[in-house]
Amino acid sequence: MQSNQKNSQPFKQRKSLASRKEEVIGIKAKFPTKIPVIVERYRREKYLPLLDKTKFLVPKDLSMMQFINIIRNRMNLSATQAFYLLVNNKSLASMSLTMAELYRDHKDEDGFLYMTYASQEMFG
Amino acid sequence: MAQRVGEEEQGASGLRRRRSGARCVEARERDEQVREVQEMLQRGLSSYEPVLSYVQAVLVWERPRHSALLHLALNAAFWFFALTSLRIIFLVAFGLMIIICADQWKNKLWPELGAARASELENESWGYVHPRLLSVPELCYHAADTWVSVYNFLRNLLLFKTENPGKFCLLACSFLTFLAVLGGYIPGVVLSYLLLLFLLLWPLAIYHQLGRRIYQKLEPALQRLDFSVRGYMMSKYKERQKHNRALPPTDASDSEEELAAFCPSLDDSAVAKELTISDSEHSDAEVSFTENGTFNLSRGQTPLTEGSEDLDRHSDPEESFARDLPDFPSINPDATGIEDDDETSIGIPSTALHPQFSSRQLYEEQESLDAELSLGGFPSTQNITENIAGFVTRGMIQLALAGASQQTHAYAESPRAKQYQRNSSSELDTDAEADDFELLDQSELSQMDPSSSHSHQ
Amino acid sequence: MNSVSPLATQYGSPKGSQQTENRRTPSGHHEQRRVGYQDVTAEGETDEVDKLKSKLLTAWNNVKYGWSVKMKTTFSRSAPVYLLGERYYFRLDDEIDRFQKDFVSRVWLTYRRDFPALEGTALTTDCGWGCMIRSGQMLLAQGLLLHLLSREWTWSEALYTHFVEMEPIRSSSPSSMPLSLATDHSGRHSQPQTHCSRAPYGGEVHQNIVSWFSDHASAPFGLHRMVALGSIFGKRAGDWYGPSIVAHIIKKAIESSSEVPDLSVYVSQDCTVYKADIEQLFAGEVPHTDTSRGAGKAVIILVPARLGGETFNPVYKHCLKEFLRMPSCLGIIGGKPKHSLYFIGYQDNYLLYLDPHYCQPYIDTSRDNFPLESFHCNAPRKLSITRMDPSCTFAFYAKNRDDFGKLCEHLSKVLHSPQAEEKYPIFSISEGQAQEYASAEGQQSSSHPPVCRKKGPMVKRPSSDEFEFL
Repeated sequence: MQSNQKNSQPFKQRKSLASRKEEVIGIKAKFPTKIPVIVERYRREKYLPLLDKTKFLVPKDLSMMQFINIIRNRMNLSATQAFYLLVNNKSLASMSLTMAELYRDHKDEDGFLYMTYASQEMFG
Repeated sequence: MAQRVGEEEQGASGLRRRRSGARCVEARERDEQVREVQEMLQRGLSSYEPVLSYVQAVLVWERPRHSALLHLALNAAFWFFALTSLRIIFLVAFGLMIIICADQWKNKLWPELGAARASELENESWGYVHPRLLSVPELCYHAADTWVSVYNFLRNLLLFKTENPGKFCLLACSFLTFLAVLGGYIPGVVLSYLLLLFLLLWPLAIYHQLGRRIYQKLEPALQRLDFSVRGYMMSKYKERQKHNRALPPTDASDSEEELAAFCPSLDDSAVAKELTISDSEHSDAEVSFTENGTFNLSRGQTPLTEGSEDLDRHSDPEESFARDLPDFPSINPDATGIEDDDETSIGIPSTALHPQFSSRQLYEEQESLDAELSLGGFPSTQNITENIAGFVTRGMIQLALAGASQQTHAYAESPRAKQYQRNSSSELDTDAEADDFELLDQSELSQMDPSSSHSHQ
Repeated sequence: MNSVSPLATQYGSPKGSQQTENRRTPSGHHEQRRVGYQDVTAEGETDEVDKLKSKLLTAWNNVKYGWSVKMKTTFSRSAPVYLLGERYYFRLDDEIDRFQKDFVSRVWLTYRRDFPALEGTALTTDCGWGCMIRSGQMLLAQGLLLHLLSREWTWSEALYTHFVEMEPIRSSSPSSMPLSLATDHSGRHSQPQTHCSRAPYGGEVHQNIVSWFSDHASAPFGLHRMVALGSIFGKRAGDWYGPSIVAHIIKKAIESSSEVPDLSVYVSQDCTVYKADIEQLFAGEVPHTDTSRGAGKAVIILVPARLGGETFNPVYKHCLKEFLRMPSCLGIIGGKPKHSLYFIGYQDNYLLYLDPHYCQPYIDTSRDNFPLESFHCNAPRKLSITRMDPSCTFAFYAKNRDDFGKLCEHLSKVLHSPQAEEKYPIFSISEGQAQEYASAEGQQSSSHPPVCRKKGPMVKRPSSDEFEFL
């Protein structure tokens, strides 16, 4: 699985800033109504599986709730499995926001929106 | 003995645990198989995500023009193959030729053109997010699930065949007979076309969640059906439970035993359904409909609340009928008529029916009533006017008892007099009642003052 | 939290096993001893080694715990202390008293050893792995205290225990500060009876509640039951648990118990609390199923969340404090990294907590008047908020619909307060119902048209009892 091999390094480190910017410009020209989102697994996450894709083209008016469900279904998670999408590896995104709003608030300098997914830590 | 029972119980629970443990292991194995097949499929299909999304969109009519074209094309192809005079082998060979050429094109010629399409390949690493369509991992999961299910089913069938050849033979023959009969009546072309239509329309049905919508629409109807048979008793039982908590326990025990015998087993789900129906009809403005059409429960009341409260207090069904009236004299429900020399006709009630009446009290009332009767002759207009509202009801009861009414003289001002009135209707001789009844003719009715309000409720 | 594997602790301490042996056959005492001796020599040193390991582990645990107790937990006199909605100003001695009683009255559940072995394993202790379950149990115990007694209830013997030293962080008159409050309170032993509310009835209920968390298979909320329910989520005895899984386990435990038929539990999914589902619980229905639990009246709401990626995000500090100021808050289960704690209050920027990492021997609660001392903690401890692990679960209690309405209002104010530095709230409260895979019908106020999620032909999701009919 090529994409999984690539995922060993975070996306930001795999590509230079210039090439990332170029990619965003290219994809936005092709799909002006979609938002480029990078969804990566939290680096210390042990329980959630890796996604088959890292880059996602998301419709602008998609809500966070729907997006989270899409990702959940992509990973075949059960309803009781904890799953959180963190923006910039820091804060939980509110469920009622749309992707467009989130993009406006948190987009990176290269034009991508970076999100991290994680479940919960275990305690012993 | 107890120890053996305990050991048996332990053994049974151990067996259950072992069974559930075995089931867990089976489930885990199945999940493993599904995951393996899914990964295999994903490896092959991950680069075709845009194509698959396009196909899905067409199947569910997100692109109407393309979908219409597809439907036309499929219909044309089907009817062509159904009605063509070309031979099967020709068609099969032709099909295989097309497949082989396509495969060659994909494996040999396509990569040579790959350099020119580097940007497309790059795009292929993008995941396309569609809120309503299945992504490739999901498709692969479902496909893998189906595959594993079919595989396991066939494996179990083969196992069944080896273990029970006779039963298997019977099962297979009956199934094939059914198919043969079906095939005998319905032409194969029609069946195939129906199958094709089903395959084309099934994604649409899932996309629009038809199953859930139909269930939601039918749910009230189903619950109403349930309501008419069992739900009635469920709701009554619930009401009684609620009511009996407030009442002193002595009142509750009889009615509960009664009902318990009447409806021995309860189903929680039916009870819940009942509350839903009843709440939606009678709740205190707390019902709210969620957007998917289901009800929110609240503490509603069942439609029979008014009646059931009285039923709780009075076990006599006759009294519930006459609940709005003042205390009714004792009525023997089995009696077809009051006979002159019947002791009960004097008016001593059976204590079972009227616990609130003491026989002494009624006897006293009867004495005073007799005195009145002996004193008075013709009923005064004042007395007659006072119960026009209860006249009909009383009349009906009295007719049912085949007795003449005494309502004309029983209506003194005091409420006790009303009791006497009730008593008298059953206590006096039928002849006397009949006479009194006859006396009240149309002229007297017209003399009654409708404005005089004397409520007897 | 310890590097020693839990399997090493599968045997109870030798002292405990000897006691049981002696209890079983008092007449054959000598024979037992001889047999025991023969067994040891016959089975070799592996048993001895394991027992030694478990002893060492227990001792090490307790030493670590003791160290942190011996280190002074100081409380400032100027800043108020909040404990599950109650506020205490330590300037007044009465308040210190009240705080002590309140804190000690909270049920404290820790690691235990020498309990009956867990089903399918030989584990007789949860030392080293069960801390999250213990924190969850403490949370549930607090919920039961609130449900069956009241927030004001205190344990009658709360003042018989020693208290930590109190030193002010900022004090205007150090000379008047008492060095050890233990001596001050020793003279007040006669008073406790008058302070606690509903002493006789409350005491019985309190004892019942504690016995429900006992460590044997028949206790409805005991470790054995929790571990058995955890197997539904793929967890086994000896695994480490997370706050979210424990929340679901608590829910299942309440659903399958008969001790509190008028209590339900709601676990939010994806940080969204759906009001309609909770309303159904108040009416006694289980959402998304056709079953009814009868007259379900009160609800415990559990919200698993993650307050940051690697470390706790300080923007959520204000919100956290506000939660702990709410009377309907049952606390927060979370902890330090790899070290679970039950947070019940705060002062300034320090969280007060109960720590389950103290290994105590098993107490048989089937006896009348079993000792309750080991179920109460007299040493409040503090942790800086920024050291908290981001994974946690919040808990709230609503007695009835009105209560829930007020709780929602309060929560909305807290979550969307202008003082909150973070624009996005930790969780949100939505009017509708949660649909499986969240089809947007009944969702929160969004201007976008509802979009349904297409489902596959045969959806066989593993073990979800909220499966939606399609």
